[in-house]
Amino acid sequence: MKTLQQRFPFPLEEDQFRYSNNLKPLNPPCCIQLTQEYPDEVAEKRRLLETHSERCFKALPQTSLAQWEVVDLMTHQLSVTYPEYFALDKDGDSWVFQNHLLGETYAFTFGVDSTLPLAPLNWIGSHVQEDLIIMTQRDEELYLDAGQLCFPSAWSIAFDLGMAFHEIHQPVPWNLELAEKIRRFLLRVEAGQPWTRLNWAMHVGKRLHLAPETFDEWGPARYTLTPDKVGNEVQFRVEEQCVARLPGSQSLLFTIHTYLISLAELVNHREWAHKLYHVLATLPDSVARYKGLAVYRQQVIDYLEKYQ
Amino acid sequence: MTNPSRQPLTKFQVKSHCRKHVLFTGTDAMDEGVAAILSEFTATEFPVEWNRIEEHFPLSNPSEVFGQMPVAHTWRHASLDCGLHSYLRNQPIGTCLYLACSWSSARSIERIAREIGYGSDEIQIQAYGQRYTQVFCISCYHIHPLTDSSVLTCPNCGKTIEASDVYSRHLDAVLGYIMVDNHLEKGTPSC
Repeated sequence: MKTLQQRFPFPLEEDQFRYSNNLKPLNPPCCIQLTQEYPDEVAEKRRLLETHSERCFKALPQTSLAQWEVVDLMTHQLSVTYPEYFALDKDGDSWVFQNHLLGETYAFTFGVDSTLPLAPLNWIGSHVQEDLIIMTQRDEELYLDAGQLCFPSAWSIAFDLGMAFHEIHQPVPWNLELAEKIRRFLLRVEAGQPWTRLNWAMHVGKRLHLAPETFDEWGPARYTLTPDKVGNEVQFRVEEQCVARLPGSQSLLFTIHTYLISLAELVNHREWAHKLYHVLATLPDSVARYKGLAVYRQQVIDYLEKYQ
Repeated sequence: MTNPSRQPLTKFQVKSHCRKHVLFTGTDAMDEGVAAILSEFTATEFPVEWNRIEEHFPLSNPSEVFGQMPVAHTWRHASLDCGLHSYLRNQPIGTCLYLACSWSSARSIERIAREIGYGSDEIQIQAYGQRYTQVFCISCYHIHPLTDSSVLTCPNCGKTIEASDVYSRHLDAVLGYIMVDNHLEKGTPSC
């Protein structure tokens, strides 16, 4: 079996901070990336869905059509893009999906919820590393109406469910005009033409599941960071986000693949260390707070300075 | 008994696409304002339905104030979810909703209406009173009444939380973040 890829999409293109709409056409148009972390991350997802389902999956009743569209889209993308790992056989509405990585086979009737072990979005999400979010579009607005969110970067789908785009992203500490431009752009995303962007943050402690529900478990680490721990404990966190139009429901599917790399690993790439150092040095205070690194930013800058 | 602290109302905007006017008034909406609104709706010659919400004080007999205008329904605020879905869903296309009531009632009605499919140009709100009344504990998901203090101990899980100004219409509550040694975490998705 072909080895899963090593991948870390480094997001910084310049030597100074610049918040911009960095959306690009997704080519090839596949919203799913399989990486070497697949077995561990899918196992962690499934553990979270088992033990904290109320925190990790929410869906409003009107999203059933959109959820099945996601099943349709992703089973096809997985079987076409990764035929050595996934297979899909269809006979009318009778579908069989095979996950060779995990040795699992599912036979179900497309469109019938009861033939799957989980809600459709939740089920297909348990086969990929990405978090999956559905936003429905109505009255020139986008609403977060369903999602599987196992690896949040300090936000809660339990609270945000049902919110409009501008309500979810308030308060944005910079450039409200840009946020509005992004919203209008998303309203016009067309089926068959997905887009992608990279977003980054930093956290202390190697942990994908950063839920505000458990802030008292992972939050204090940032206040006790010492210089000798910066290299191994501080994680550079990147989200590879894709957005695709679901033509039947006219909803938008957002996929979020989260990558972590410690600073100790990152500095092995000198160009990355150089760019991150200069971006952190020029980052406005408001943005630093928003990205969760205001408390220890200087410690990270001091660490990176050794590699300039 | 009537509440002496009545809230003044201005007229709603009657839009050309409206083919039926459905008005919801709360306990504190001033009689004079409600009467003026009903008169303007009646002048359009489209059907008018008037719903009253009993928010705290029992409502006076409407005929004593508004003569022959019938009341379609009287709803108790605590049980708005019961029956309102069906009532709103059964309204004809072109129905416009006008909410002259407390913020709490208005948010409940608007949420239900939007879930059914009413658009923003079909709902107008003149609300009064405290805008937010509940806080959502992010730790245990229980919803509690807001007090004057923004920091409180969740009576369900015992965590110290701080009420933010981030509001969820779906939950009708603001978000209460966990405090750790006076520190909060306020993240947002993917920005």
